[in-house]
Amino acid sequence: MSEADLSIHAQVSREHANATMAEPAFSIPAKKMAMWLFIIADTATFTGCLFAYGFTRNGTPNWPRPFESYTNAAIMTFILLTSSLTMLVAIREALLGEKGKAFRWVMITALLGAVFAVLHIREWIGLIDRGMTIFHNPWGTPLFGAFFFGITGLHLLHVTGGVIALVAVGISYNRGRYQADDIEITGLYWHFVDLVWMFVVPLMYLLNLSH
Amino acid sequence: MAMATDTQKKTRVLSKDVTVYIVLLILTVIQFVIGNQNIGDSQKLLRMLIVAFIEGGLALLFFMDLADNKGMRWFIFIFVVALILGLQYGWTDSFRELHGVRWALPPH
Repeated sequence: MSEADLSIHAQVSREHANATMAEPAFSIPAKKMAMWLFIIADTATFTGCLFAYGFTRNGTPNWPRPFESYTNAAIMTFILLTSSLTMLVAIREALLGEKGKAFRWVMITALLGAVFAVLHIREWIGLIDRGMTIFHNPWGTPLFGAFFFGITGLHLLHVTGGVIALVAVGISYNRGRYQADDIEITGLYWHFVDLVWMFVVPLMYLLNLSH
Repeated sequence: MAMATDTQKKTRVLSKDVTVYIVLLILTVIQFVIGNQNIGDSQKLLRMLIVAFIEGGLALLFFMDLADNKGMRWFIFIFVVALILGLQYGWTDSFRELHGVRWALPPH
């Protein structure tokens, strides 16, 4: 191999190294970026569902207003919002290397998520007892049940998945299999679940109060 | 440089997080007060959505750390605006369902 060939080879190697060492998109590590992309896709799903609900509610004159009180929704909102704060504390402890404390705060967050899910299911059972199903309700258009159970059910699915993820990641982190970054990324998902609820509450509950 | 900022950020300022949490609680209370008011549905929806967008913005900026990443912040902002604008197409069908199509209605 001539000297010129060697020089070209070295240059190509250097360029290849530069390309592989390039900064990731938006300077976000790959794992975190994957979670952001999931959140972006999920935003489209929830926005689509809420817009479909808006179109239908606007186009249906006898839309039911079955909620006599917002107490349950307020308690659920408080619990979910507080779980976001406990998640932030868990991330802080994880970043400081306080493994035990971080694990405990992650479990507290998961517990709050579980309480939210139980309250949500209790509310569903109450509505089902009053005669509401996906296809029928005693107050007006049957579409209400479909949208209510569909949208809050999708959110409940996310909360349940989040609780499972928190427990799994928390245990793995405590055993040393996962790092602080993994707690941070799970926290990103948990905050997103909280963020979605901020839009579900006014549209599904407060707009359908009976008074 | 921003990569270094992201990976080297080893602490969170808890007082800032607690402040944002309290602001979010206050905004939530405002949202529930608006929801309980006897005003028209459109006014109620508009006011509650404004509060919800402020809440969402605060959560994105401070809980999800977009305040520290200008590029990602713009990416999310443009995506959300494009998504919301793109989904406006359904209102024509929605109002047609409500009022009917003028030329398809029976004569008065």
